[in-house]
Amino acid sequence: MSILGSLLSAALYACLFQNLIFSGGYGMDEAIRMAAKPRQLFPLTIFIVYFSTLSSVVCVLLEQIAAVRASGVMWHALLFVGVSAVLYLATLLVVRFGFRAQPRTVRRLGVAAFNTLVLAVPFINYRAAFGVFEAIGAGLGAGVSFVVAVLLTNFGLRALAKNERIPGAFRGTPAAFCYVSILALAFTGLSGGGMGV
Amino acid sequence: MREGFKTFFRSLSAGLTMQNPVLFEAIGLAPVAAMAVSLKSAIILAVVSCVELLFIELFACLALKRVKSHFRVLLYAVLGVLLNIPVFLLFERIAPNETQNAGIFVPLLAVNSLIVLHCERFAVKNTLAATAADAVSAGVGYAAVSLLVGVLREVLGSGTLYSRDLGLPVQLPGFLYPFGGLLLLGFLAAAVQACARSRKPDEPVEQAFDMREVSESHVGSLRSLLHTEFDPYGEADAAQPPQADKEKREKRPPRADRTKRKKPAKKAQKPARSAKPPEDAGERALRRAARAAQADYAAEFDEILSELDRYRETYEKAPSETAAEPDAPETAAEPGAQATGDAPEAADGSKEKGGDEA
Repeated sequence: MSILGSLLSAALYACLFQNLIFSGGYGMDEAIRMAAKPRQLFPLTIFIVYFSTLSSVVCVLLEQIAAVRASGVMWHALLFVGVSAVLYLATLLVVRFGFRAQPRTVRRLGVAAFNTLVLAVPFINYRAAFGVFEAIGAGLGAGVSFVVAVLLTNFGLRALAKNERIPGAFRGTPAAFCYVSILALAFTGLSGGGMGV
Repeated sequence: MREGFKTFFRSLSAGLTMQNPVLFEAIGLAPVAAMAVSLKSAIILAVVSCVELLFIELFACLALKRVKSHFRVLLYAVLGVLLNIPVFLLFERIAPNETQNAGIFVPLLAVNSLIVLHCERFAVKNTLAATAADAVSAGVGYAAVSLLVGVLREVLGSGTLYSRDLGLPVQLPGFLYPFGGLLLLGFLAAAVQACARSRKPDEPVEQAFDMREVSESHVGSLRSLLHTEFDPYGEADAAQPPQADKEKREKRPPRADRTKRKKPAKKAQKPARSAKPPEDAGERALRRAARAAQADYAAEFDEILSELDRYRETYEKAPSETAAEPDAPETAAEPGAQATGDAPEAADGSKEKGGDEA
């Protein structure tokens, strides 16, 4: 029960209370670009969940080594990128030669493996000293937060595309930024942080 | 040589304004929105990004053109983190507090989408000089926006500039959060767009993404997958050749356009529904005349029938008279013919008809 509790609390933390995309800003450009082309959302999300969860677990396991734990931020970054690279290569081999996936799917794999969201999850685990189950929760939460961010942004962008009353200077990317900033404000409110205003 | 300089300055100005990677291509948003909260952290961000972009783009142009794209993505990340280490160590000595405050964002710059997209779109397809120009213009554009956002957020959010107190009466710490950074980016993009529109009002402004694609929802695609495109027995393919289907899809306008064109299409269909050729005024007059003539014939026929009835009555009343005086019907027919005022032809006709009926 405690395992499930820690897994769920970490997932909810990453998804809602400290939404990695809106409150943290990780993977924001991928989310906005994906919201503009939502047809690729589900395959990319599956890959993101896969990479974030797996790299998160492997990195937490590696953190158990004392030398790794004692190293600085940049060495951790090197380790995390190395883990992501190994996972990416293994997955690429399986997907390309095992399932004979199309080049389009292989390209998605690259986008999903190396982005700020996936690399941020092991860093958050490292800073928060998460265990294995919390790391799984954080990885799953990162994927869910990506879906939530893309869906919310897509709904807003569709409304913005239809709206004729938007001033000419704000049409397109500026309006999209303003809309996403309002969403980010809402999620920052969920985290409970005071603005000091 | 002059042409080369002109091209370079044109690409530099485009990178600063309408082709700015952050403002109009929405690339590398995460570090700007989350990390550029002060001028010092913005300087770190700008320097690290420019150095990484320039080196990796040049390396990709020189050495990675023959490498497959899925391996290139991996190499960009590894190269990025390897370049990050010396720069990070240098900044840790120069500005330790700011480097610590930047948190995990400096290492995350290794997988910045700015590098991947510019390398894949440009570096592996162009010459070294063109790649260098692209890297400088994109890097300068990214650095300019990062510095501007950093200055504005520090002044508005903390009331300081380069850690010096400005003594402002009001501070808005909300600008130090990612949403504040995004809001500033939105207003900066709008300002640049307004300037571009005022200079060249007829030219369409380039955007990061085609807003027409936005209208296509994932929900719509799922629905279409479930209801229309799901064809397990290939019935649709048998009914329609795939090439024709493809052409049909290509011809079909995007959804946003389709909704706009709905009304005129309905209006255009209206005359087609009647399936009759259009009539002119002459034909209409002829048809009216024919209808009037038909009505006249009907009236005439009624009169003939009534005359026949009258003859029958006269025959029934006086059969003996008719037998005694054989000329009597002719005399009796005369007043009827006179009364109607018709020509003798009518009387003859009535006689014939009456005879037939009898």
